[in-house]
Amino acid sequence: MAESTGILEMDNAGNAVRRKRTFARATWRHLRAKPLGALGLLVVLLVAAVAIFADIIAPFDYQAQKYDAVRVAPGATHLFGTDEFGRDVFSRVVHGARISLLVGFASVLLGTGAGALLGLISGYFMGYIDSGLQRIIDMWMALPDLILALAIVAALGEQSTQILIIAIAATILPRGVRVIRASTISLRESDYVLSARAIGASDRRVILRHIAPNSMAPFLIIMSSMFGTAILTEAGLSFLGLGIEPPTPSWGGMLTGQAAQFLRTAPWMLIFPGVALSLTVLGFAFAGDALRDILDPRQRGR
Amino acid sequence: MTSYIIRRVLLFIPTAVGVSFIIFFLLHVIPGDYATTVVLGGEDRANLATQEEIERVRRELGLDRNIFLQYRDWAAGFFTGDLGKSLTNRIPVSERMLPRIAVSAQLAVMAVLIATLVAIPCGVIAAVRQDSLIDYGLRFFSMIFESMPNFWLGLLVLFALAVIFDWKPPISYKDLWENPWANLQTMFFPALVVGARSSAGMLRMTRSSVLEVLREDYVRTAQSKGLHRTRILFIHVLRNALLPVTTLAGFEVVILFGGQVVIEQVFQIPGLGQLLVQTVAGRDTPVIQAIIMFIALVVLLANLVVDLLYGLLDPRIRYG
Repeated sequence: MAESTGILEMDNAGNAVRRKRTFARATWRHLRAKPLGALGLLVVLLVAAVAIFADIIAPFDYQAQKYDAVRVAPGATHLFGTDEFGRDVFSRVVHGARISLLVGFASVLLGTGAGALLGLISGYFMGYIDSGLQRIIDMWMALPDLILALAIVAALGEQSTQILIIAIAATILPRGVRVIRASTISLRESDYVLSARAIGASDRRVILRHIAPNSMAPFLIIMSSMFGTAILTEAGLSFLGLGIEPPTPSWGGMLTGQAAQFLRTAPWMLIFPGVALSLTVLGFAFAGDALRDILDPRQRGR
Repeated sequence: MTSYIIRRVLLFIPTAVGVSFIIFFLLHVIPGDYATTVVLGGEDRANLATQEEIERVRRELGLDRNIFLQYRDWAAGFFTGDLGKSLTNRIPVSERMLPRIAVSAQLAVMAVLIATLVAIPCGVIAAVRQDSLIDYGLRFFSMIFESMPNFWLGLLVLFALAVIFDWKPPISYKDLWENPWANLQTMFFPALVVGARSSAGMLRMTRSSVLEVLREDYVRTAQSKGLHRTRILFIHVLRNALLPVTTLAGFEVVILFGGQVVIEQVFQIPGLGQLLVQTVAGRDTPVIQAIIMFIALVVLLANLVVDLLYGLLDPRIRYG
């Protein structure tokens, strides 16, 4: 996408339009050549639709407890059965999509966005700023994702969706820095950056007008590949009881405690949220791989 | 080589100190210090804590002192083994951590062993038979394992064991030296689950690394010389292809520790991760910071070892 807009500025209008169309056609060709990518995209879109229309799709209130219908097996009224409080598992899985995608999207945006900004600065200015920042990133990365997120949740001392998002974003940030820094370093010696600097463009202008748009491909790639990780971290934290607070349904949270106790007698409580979670992450993985193939031809076929 | 080792080890020290700095300040600077937790006894009685009480506890714990002094004392404690006391039961932190370190370490070692034993042969097979059914199958499964949250995989394993074999892992944890058989019974499945995830990444790494080496000129030379396929594979390909995989193995240690926290919870294993979760829920800051620092040290050491190993195995790195 970034490449075609770049060309659009230089060429005349007719040429630009044609280029755009080739991009769309190339994308289509890739989707057909990569059925897994297309499948992934389909899953992602489906989950997104479920998240958006959760209120319409869910047949029951996700909080409504029915004590005369506790742990009912999946059937016509309760598609995925009910849990230990008689809540409809299907409705809870549907609403879980909303919280999963919300936390995933917000934390990926925050983490990669902040990471990209630091990466641009670090890669462009090099020198002390760069080496200092890179050492800090080294330290940051010595902590496993979940541990870092746990530390932040522990430090902030309370549970809320915002804190959860910040904690997950913090785990994503260093990867954003690394990727964008690498791309910035390779771009800063390119001819067009040198010529922009030669005609006296300010650092700010060079970064924002020349380097940032051309780093768009790696940025989108890292964003898409971080989605699954973010969703898994959220699920892990919620599973440990340190993420989304009940009664808000989160896929990870639905698998805690009781679900494990009723492993034998009510396995549906365990199976459906887990399937939803895994399919979503898998969908993002396939779609992300396909996106990487489309945006970064050098990596193709690996 | 010596200068490479010295350079690399010297890099380790400031990084470790920096990490300890980050952890300590993260858990101390942010509002609501843990004096309040002590007064409240971990319970939600916010209105019952008087200001005087909080001030008194803060003085007792030394939280009213300069933060840098507090940091210095804490860091010094790492060398003397005095990491402070748990807030909830006043047991020294090191005493609470030590038995659990052994448990988590055993789990980690078993998981890495399982992961490596599965991933490397499978990755090599997938590469040698590129684009065959077996290649697609292995890649597909590795993606599935990477997308499955491992606590869910753990629950499914428990479910399958219960339904199919009517078997439950022994509930109470037994020490490895005390009762090896019971211990391995409890530890095998968690290690399998943790290892499954690590092996997925390792498999794909091995595969792409072997594929890359297979395209090298010296492999073609060996082929045209008429060397036997197995000989080429073991002598020419694997020695070169497995180098980058060692780096990944170091990186896997990082992921492993994250995965273990959750799995210890699923299988009720009294490891470091379980303690971490308990203490985060109970806001037991001295224990939390000690565990996190310990994990960070292990990760940094693993990276150090991998880098040194890499330098030893690949001369290009040493002089780079």
